Amino acid sequence: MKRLYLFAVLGAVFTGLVVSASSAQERKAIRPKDKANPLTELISGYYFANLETRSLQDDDFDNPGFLWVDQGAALWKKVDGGAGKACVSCHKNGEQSMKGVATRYPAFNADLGRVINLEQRINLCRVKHMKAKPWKWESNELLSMTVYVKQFSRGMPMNVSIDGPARPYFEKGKAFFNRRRGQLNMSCAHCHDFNYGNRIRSNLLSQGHINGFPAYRLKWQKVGSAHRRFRGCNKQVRAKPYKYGAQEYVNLELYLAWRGNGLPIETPAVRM
Amino acid sequence: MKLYRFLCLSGLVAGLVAVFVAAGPGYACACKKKTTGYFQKMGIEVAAAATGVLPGVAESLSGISGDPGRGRLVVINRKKGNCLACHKISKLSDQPFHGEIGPSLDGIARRYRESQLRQLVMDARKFFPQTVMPPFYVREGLYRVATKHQGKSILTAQEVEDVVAFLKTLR
Ligand code: HEC
Ligand code: HEC
Repeated sequence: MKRLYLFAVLGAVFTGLVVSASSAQERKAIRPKDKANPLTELISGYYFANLETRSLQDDDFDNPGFLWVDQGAALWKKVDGGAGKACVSCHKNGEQSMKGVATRYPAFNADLGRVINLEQRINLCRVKHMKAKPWKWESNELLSMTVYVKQFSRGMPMNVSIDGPARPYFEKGKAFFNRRRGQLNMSCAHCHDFNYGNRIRSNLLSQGHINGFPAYRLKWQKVGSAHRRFRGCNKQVRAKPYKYGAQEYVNLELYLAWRGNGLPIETPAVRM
Repeated sequence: MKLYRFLCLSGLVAGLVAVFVAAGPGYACACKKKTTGYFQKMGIEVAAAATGVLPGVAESLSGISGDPGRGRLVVINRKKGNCLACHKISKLSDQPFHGEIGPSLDGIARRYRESQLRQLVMDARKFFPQTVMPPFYVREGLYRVATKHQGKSILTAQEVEDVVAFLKTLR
């Protein structure tokens, strides 16, 4: 009798585990920590991609973004610039020194007196410490190094700060996100706050998070930065895009990172 | 036999509890087809339209009456109306991918007069201030319009008339 009981309970727990494991295939949401977040649930873009695309991301060997990780690893050790240094000269083993770094970017930089993103932090090291030329926006080098540095934070929750000197940049990014623009007169919020989960013609709208960027996009057939995605979304509504690296986009990046605080970093994510 | 059934039941309950425990802080979202604030407001606004409170635009923009056949093409065209990006229209079920952003336009001519349909296509913000729907016949007050489209509305006066003529066939 007792044994039968135990059996039933064990069986039940097992069923529970199986069911919950399979429900992980559905959209997994977490609650935002900050009450000011306009979203009541945070869902990665991963869950809005089709299963084929997700399975590419799930396997590091299939994930085409890992070509950029490999290139980044090579550049990490490559001496460049007047100081005769490489990244490895100062930061040694990236696996240790870069762990968690990307969770905090964009961040206020005291030297420059403004908020900068990870790409700009990398270029700052090149100019200041290596006496090397900054890499061009969206160049293979800058994308590879950004992906390389960021994947050491894979699985860690995004955790940017919007306090103190970062605050005004955050406010500007927030205003950008909510402002109607372009001939179609739409804001980012129209699609990604109010309509995620709905189809716009054949496209399923996600929450527009940046936890996977730089991401490998099947449509691009390569890795691209968050700024490339912003330009695309601006052009969709027939608005004038900003230049890569524009402060407007860095502010927007800070707002989006905060809006997704708590989501795990997925770089290099695979997206459609 | 009864005991067996009882055990099955309690097993099921315990199983469900386990689902919640195992799921931890994450949970599967129910985000599909949410009601936005807009949609809730809509119920009131639609009622207002039915009683004729919402003003429309009575005159044809081009002076010529619209052609529903040409309107159908504007509605479908992704570079023109692209109405199917957001609206389902059963009459156009030969077209793939009808969006889920706005309400279905089936029977729309029973809900609005021609003058109101014209206003909705020209600038739906008159009825729904927060709407995501693009203003199709507006040239001014837009922010950072791409150079190629500056000073132009999405649709021409005649295209608006053609779309309205098509909408009038949706009874
Ligand atoms: C007309 C609708 C629309 C508007 C307006 C829009 N987007 Fe998007 N956005 C999309 C679509 C469609 C996709 C691709 C599917 C998806 O991930 O949502 C996308 C994808 C994204 C992604 C990639 C998400 C991921 O996980 O890969 C980001 C980031 C993003 N948008 C940010 C923005 C920002 C910032 C703005 C405003 C400057 C904006 N979007 C405006 C439609 C829109
Ligand atoms: C980007 C999305 C979008 C596009 C494109 C769009 N609409 Fe809409 N439309 C909406 C939404 C959303 C509403 C509901 C009003 C609201 O809640 O904002 C709406 C409302 C309407 C209504 C009133 C419906 C009702 O039941 O009250 C009509 C009529 C309409 N649209 C026609 C059109 C036509 C015709 C086109 C193309 C020329 C078009 N729409 C393109 C999003 C869109």
